[in-house]
Amino acid sequence: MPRQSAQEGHRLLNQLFTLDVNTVITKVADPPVPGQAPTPPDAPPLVKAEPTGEKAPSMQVMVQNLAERYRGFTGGDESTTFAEVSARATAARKHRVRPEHGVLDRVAHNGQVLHDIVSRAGTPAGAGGAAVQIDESKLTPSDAATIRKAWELSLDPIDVATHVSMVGDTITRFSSSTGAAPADDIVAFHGQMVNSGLGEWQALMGVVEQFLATVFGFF
Amino acid sequence: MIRTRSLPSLTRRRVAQRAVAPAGTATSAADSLPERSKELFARGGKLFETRASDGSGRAISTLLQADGDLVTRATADSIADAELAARHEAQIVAWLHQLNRDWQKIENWCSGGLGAAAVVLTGVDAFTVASTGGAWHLAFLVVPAAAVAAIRAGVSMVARRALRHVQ
Repeated sequence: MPRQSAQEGHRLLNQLFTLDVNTVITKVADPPVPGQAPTPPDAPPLVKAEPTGEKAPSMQVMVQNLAERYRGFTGGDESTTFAEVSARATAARKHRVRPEHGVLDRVAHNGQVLHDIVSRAGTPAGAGGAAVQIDESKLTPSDAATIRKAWELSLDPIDVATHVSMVGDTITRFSSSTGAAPADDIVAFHGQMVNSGLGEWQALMGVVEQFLATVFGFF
Repeated sequence: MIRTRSLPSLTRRRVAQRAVAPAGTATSAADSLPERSKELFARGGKLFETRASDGSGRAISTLLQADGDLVTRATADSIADAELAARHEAQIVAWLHQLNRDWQKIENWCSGGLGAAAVVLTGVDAFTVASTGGAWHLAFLVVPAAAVAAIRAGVSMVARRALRHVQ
């Protein structure tokens, strides 16, 4: 139990002290040509279609979606757990058997974190083919944020990603299926999103600081 | 005759806010702070979606999380639309400003509440001490204040002397 609390605390601090801004450029399928089969979007099933405005489903559905998508990506059946998915993605990354390194890293990391969440707040996928279950009332805000982000990113490659840490390190990565640098307007838009994220981060720190000052100032 | 003006109702204010929202801006039904906070913390983040006003179906969606993390999904042509991208960013910034203002209000209320509680507790304590005849207890209140005043006076005196030497 203390180990779990320590892990949860570490994860919470890590989330609080780092900022991640990801921009995913979605691709849409070519319009169908009469007499020909419709062209699928680039590299299915890694690419989602145009944003649909679909509101997020429940956390339970998100976790089941993720289990299904991750199983489809790494291989496995209904009883494959998130921990097994994570192990398969790690092995594939290590042996360089697949080119999608970014997505493999994400699946390996998220698989482990989701396994921890499900172990703590639900029931892992069973040997009898029972789907993974979670009790939403046991989820912390940090769990909800992790599940939502993993669901939102799904298995899509991230085109521009910026990671800012509290100590001042800022890392921006560009990736492209064609090998070309992203267009200037995409980079500029991503920069604006980073500014918005930094603003929110700064405001959050301000609220925490003011709250602590108020409480400890009183005592 | 005194004319009074009723406070604007929350419903009317919400309707007015929606009426002035720019075309194509997705207005959220979750206006109140508890609902916004629930969306941000319990639902894992707030999803913003801005659609092009020309009816082409182009859209940009961004998930904003409580710790500032952002995930944006869009097609390249949606981002190339400067008006759509600017409107999307403005939507996020406006929402954040409102949220921060609301949090600031709560912080002010907490600060004011704690201050008022301190005054009441001190008053009750002073009254109790005075009514039981043990007035020397008030020294607990006076001594720290006197100590702070003495330290300030000392620092001020030393600073003045130091300045005289410099001049």
